[in-house]
Amino acid sequence: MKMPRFDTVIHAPNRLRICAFLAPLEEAEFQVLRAELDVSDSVLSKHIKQLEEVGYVKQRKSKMNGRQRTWACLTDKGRKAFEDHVEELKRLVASAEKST
Amino acid sequence: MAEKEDRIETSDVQESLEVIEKMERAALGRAIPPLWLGASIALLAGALVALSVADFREYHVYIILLMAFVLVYKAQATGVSVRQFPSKLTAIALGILIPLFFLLIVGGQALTGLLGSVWAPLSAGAILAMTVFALSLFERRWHLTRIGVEEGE
Repeated sequence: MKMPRFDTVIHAPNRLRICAFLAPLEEAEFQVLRAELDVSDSVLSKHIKQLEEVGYVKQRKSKMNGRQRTWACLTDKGRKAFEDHVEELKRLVASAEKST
Repeated sequence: MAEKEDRIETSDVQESLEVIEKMERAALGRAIPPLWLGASIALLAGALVALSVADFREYHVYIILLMAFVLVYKAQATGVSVRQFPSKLTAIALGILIPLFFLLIVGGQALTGLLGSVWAPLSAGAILAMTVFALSLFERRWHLTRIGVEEGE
């Protein structure tokens, strides 16, 4: 049986948004993520690094027209953790609705 | 867990779910295949058939390389690459395109005597190009519907 799990690493607002944006994608470019989140480079880097440290996100660098670009993607572990987290959030809402 | 549930407000959780949905829609919105992508792949696929009918198979490698370049460029230009193609839609498209591809090559070669060595390849290529472009429009519509956006919005 699948056990939903509330993940405190993912639940922080910016990290939740990063994971939600990456979930339906293979990978996304750093600048695209930054624009969608409307945060500074350093803030985004900090959150991506935190997600990377727990093995939820992987980064790769590519060069195009002499410009270095960074791409981020959810790892299998990150994808699973995010899915479990969303499931847990839905369960919390459902149980709260049931109790009212 | 019960203690954790007590500390988390339901409104916060609901808000988080809304944020998740919004971000997923934004990602899917960025992943919508642009019109130029469908048009480029359609032209290249048409060229592949036309060259096969005209028996210029030595140029296939250039067309395939161009297709790969277009796909890489699309990912670079949009800044995202899609994780999953809609599997049912892909299966339907491949079910149409693969038989049509070979049918047009065989049919085009058979009709070379009737239409001439220029018009037979061009006609076969044009038929495949139009089919690929129509399917790309269908795929685009599928993505737009999925995120609840009307074409032109």
